[in-house]
Amino acid sequence: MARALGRDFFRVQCYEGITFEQMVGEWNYQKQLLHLEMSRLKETDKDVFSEEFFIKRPLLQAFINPNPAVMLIDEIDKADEEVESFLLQALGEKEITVNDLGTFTLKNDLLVVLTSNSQRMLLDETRDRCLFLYIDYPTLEREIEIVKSLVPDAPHELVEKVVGLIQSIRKLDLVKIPSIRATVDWVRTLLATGDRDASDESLEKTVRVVLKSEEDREKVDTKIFK
Amino acid sequence: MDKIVTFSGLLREKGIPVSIRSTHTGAEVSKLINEDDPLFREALAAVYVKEQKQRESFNQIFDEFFGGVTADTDEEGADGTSPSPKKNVWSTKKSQKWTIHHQEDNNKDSKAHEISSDEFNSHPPLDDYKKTPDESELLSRDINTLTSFEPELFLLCQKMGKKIAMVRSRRQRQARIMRPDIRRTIRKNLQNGGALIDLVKSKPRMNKNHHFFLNDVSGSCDWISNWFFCLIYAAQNSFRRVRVFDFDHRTVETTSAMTEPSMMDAFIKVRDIRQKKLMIHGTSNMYQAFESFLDSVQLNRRSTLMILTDCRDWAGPKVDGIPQSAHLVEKMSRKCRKVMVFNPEDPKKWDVVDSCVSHYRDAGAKIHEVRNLNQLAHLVRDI
Repeated sequence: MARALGRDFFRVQCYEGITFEQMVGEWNYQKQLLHLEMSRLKETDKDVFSEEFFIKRPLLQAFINPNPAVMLIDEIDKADEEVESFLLQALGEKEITVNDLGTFTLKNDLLVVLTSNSQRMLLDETRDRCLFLYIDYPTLEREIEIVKSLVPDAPHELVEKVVGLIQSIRKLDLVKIPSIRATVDWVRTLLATGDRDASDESLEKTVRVVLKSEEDREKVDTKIFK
Repeated sequence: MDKIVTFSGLLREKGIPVSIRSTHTGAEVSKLINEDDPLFREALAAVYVKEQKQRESFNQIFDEFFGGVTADTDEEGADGTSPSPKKNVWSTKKSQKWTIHHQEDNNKDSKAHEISSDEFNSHPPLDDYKKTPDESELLSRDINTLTSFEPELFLLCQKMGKKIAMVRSRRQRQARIMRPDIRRTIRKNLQNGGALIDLVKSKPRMNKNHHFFLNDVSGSCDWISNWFFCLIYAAQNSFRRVRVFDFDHRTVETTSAMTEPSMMDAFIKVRDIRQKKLMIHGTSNMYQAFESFLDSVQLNRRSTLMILTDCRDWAGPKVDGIPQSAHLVEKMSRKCRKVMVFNPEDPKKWDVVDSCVSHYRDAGAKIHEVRNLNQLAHLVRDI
């Protein structure tokens, strides 16, 4: 999106336990202490709560970026609810407050994209501040297009065969349903093995690329490759 | 503007939560996109629909209100011509249902590997998946009605258990972040000429807690105890020294099942243990059960005991109307750090007929209502 719109790109990868400091920024307390020590020795007075002592992380960088930007907050559902709560000010009021430093207002036309795999329900307040788009697995044609754009060297028949199989595998009740990334990986694997025709035998041998548990492998073996 | 406000009101009436902010955004959308534009519905859906399960209701209300302007490309045009096959499917999707049909149709035409297995053909078509209850519905459904082996429920318990383990391990990690150790901090910073640069935190205390889970498997609690076991199994790594017991009129330890590699194997093993001990639809005698439990474990102030039961001591002895099992609960409360009773019954039924809720409460146990899986999961998470 950023490339298509000619904007700068910033990304925060959320995970369990990510904090305000890791998304917005944190005080460089060692630098602050050293400056305090220096001030004491030189008998000068320096404000250690200025921007100079604040390490800016992606969210704040995106906010104060002079050019229009795209900010990806990936897998927000993996972060804690506290993270969502502090994002409310940013998403709703377009400003970020840092204690002892002040409030940063949005400096550019920022497009924020939050992604979620619905591992937990997002806060109503967060959803209220966002537009919601449900993205399902792609259709066969669309997936073929995606794979071909990512692996242009792959013969059409090979891509068609692999995508068709992937679409069938997705209908099985698997623990981990193969993603588009898995389809691409499978095609690349087949190309690496040199089997550009994707024979049934090599498909069966390489299907593990897209299956992430033994249980799933057994299910696919019995229901697809039997 | 009035039209959008009325539309928001209609959505609210149909159970889709709509905030003033959404109405405002909806009004902005209506300024940008004409109502006749097929994308108008998609744009409003992005504003109003915050969960995919609301999409169908939204589509229905939208069609009724705005007169069925859709982005359907399947239908023939007004002049009888078919729509262009190259039309962007992403911008023309009506709903998830539509997409699934589309995928299936495409598969029929594809040259993909054919599946001739009857077993696979007997698999329910994708359309049926939307009929399966969604997670939030299963989690909030009355736990007393979850009395059959539903694979979705089984997987959901596994998922919930893993989430519980994640939350608990994070909490434990945070608990290990200790306060600054001033003495060690000063000593460490002597190398910096006394300037405070490095902060040394005190070491965390050793966690020596034990967790005991006691599941009532007599008639009414049989299935609930299964879901409880599944949650505990999936979250077991976040507990230290877990021991699990089942009881009806006696107690049997099922901890060995926790070491099984998969939850299904563990589940089967527990059912097997119960069958071997003839603990199938038994009658509760909590006095005998708690007595045998106390004989088989060493409780102390580091022990947390969780009892899943409806507190109906049908066959236990009573003296002056007081169930004798309450004395054993008191004994356990004195020995343990905490005794928690998870009761799946409606609080209105507590203390009715043979229910011993207030006796157990007076004996020092903390009674918690567990009417659905959500409540159960929250309690397990907060132990």
